[in-house]
Amino acid sequence: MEKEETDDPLRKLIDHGNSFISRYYSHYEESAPILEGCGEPLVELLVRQARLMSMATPDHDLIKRRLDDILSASYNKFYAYLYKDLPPCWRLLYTEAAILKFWVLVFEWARSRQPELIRKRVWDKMEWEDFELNTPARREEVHEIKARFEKQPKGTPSRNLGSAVWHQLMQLSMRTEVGGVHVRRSREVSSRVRERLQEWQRRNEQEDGQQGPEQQQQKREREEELLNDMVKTLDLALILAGGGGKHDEIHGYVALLEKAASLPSNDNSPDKISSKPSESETPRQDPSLGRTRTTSLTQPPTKRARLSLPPPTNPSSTIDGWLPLNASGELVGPVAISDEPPVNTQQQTPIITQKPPNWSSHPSFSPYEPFTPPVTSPIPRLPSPSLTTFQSHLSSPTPQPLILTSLVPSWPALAAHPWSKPSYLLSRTFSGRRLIPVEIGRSYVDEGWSQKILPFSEFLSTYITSPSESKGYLAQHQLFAQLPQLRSDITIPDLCYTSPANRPDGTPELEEPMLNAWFGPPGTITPLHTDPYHNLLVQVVGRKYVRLYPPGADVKRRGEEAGVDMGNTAAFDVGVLEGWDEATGEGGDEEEKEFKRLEYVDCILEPGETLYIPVGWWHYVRGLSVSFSVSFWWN
Amino acid sequence: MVFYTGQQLSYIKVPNIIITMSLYATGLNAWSQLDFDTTKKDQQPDDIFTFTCLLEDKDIDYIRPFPSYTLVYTTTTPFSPTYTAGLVPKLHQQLSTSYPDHYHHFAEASNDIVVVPTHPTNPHPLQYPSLTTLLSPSSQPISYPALHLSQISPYATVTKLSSSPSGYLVAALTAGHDLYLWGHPSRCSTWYPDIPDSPEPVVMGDDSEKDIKDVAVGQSHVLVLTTDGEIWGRGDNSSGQLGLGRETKLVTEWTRLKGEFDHDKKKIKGVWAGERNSFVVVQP
Repeated sequence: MEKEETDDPLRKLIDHGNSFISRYYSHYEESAPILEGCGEPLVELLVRQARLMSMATPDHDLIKRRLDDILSASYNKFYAYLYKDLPPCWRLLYTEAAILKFWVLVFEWARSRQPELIRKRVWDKMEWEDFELNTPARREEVHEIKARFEKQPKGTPSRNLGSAVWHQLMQLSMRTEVGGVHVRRSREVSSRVRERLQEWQRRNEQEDGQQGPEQQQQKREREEELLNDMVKTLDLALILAGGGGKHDEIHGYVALLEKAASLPSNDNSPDKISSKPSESETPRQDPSLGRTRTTSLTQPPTKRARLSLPPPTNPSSTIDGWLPLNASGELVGPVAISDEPPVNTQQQTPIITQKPPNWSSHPSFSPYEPFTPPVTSPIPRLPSPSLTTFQSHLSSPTPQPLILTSLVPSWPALAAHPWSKPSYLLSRTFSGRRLIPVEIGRSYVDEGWSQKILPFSEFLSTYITSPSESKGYLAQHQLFAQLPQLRSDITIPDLCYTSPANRPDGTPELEEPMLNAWFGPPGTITPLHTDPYHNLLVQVVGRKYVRLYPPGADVKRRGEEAGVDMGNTAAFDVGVLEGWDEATGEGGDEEEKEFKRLEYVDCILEPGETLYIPVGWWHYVRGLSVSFSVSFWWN
Repeated sequence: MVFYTGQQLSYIKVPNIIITMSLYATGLNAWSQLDFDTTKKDQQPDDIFTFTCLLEDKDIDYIRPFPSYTLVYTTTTPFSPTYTAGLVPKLHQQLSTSYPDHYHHFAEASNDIVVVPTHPTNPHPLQYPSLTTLLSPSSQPISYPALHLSQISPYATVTKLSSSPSGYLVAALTAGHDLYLWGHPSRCSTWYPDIPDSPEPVVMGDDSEKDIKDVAVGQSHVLVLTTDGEIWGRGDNSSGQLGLGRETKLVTEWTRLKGEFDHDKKKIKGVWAGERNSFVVVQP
């Protein structure tokens, strides 16, 4: 029976979820010592949800709300402490709750996709706890009833639990055992059990009744909503809680889910199921599953493409700013959920389950540049220095900026896995469902600048592929820790493993180079600032203008703003003083004169080129076209 | 550790007193912190979404809502809670046995900082980085920047201060029954978009003359009691903390909160807010 499961991704996902939930205590044990810091009430609440989820007929809505309560409580802690002081237990608690919530959503989704699978789960798991029976001895009674029912020739317990067996089980739940004697139990408990069982039964019947085109449509929309919710739950754990140290685990779940989602949904009509020869004693041989599997293998590619990638009906559960995120995303507020119309990106959506397509025929991002500043003091270009040459360059007392024109020629991101193609990027982000943090506003020092977390497809359609009044910039995000499938399209240049001489005081040594992604429309601006690291800025898509002032330059610094030290950012705006942008604040002639006296070097970075920015150099970066760069920091 | 002192018995002992006070509550009940009926045992209690009378006693003095449990005090035993509901964390139990004086006055902030009453000779309250440090044998108080009440309004005497556990919203009540509110605009933006970042007087409804009797601030909701006995509130209702039912998730305007306590023209003694729940005590 077991071997059959391996090739059905949905069943595999459910099996994984089942074993996760049933093994939750051992799973939790690894986390327990750290979680202690959150206090017993929250930990008890978390473990309670896992325990209830292992029951046959859990109240998913209440469990989800309780998990949201935990997410909200831990999310509030992220803001109660300074970032560096946040005890690690809160990130872990957030992540644990998010993973449990993910599984609740998976069971709901799977129930809609293949009801048989979940009904089977209910039947198999149905135990004395579900009837709130107070002694394990009565477990046998439940087993007996179940076994009796499974022996009946027509018994397809998964199909219809509403008949005699249901009745018998309910009868069971109405008595309790006190001192070896069965007594009638309190009306409250028995009615609670009955209600829960009846609710499941109602849903079964409701599902069987859903066959009209309208209901099918509703069902698909609901499935899509659940899918987006699942992705959102895990992505928020990665983005907000840093994955709580469970990156690999979460990546594994997303991969399983993506596979399962690529199969067409079971349309769930009973006649098809009953027309199959049913050997009900072996419940695993679910006819509907066999059908799905066959279908998925034999369906023509065109149909498959359509079914496998339902348009993200409403992926726009945009979450504004960091605050209103409110932990689970679905909690409060008109601000928290954007009302933007769903964005239709499916025309660009490629088939992700098939062999790698030839991306060259797909359209690229527009190379349009609304404005191109002149380069007046060009940075020298060389092809690709050897490690020793570069090391000696670094070791000089004042290493100069350099452009390396062929440092990264072999990157898949520049060729076979082209980041210049929206369709490729969508294929790597679960059809654009994956969430990314985006900075809204021209530059982080401007009024009204904010941060949002939104689905990748929405980011593309709102800010990149169509003109938008406000700028959205995926900036300084450790995208590759979140999306390992994009990480494999690039390699860390060997040059990052050199050891530079001058590390600024107080900056800890990085064990590994730090990777950040920078992806935005034309006109994004990173204001003049310095970083405490050496930097290789690799241009992958489009062009960027970069201007550099040496560390000793007399650049006027900003002070503390809203409690944040902005001293690494210059007080003037290069674009405004050069007359490229309109002024937003006041600026004196004196300031302009001073600024014009400062010496700098500049360049326009082309795709495939790498700019070396020595530590401490002031840099101003301006996207000219749609632009995607990767920066590598090291020290 | 027993908090529950069986005070219900003494209630029965005074049968000729018909006058009772009622505790109404609504909101988060994840740890049964609103279930004062100890015979009820539910493995996963639901939240309460409308103000519901949960407890009656001849004399309810004040409420201390903690994130996972609730203490109800009566004047009979002023420094020992008469009723406890919910799950009391071990550290709190330890504090109550080791330092009962501290326990009955301590406050714990979201970032673990604990404030306890000061010694009569010391004008400032003692502050500790966390309960764990307070309970350790070598505990040493530390000092944090304190709010100077004169900053709120130089002319008014502040009679009550209430803050969200995170400190992102603070409310001050003055002797003249004016209410001042202020907070962190971006941290409160979902539920209080126009929160001022320095103390400003607020007005309930259209009547600018309405005097304020009491105020209580939760994690992301505020309760206000006016001197004419109305309760107003705003903020998050996703756990039912404003008693506005299951459908209303949030109100961003001051909203009159109604309940059974309005009907019989009873007098409302005060309001209290937990992180995600609310309490109203009504006296005859």
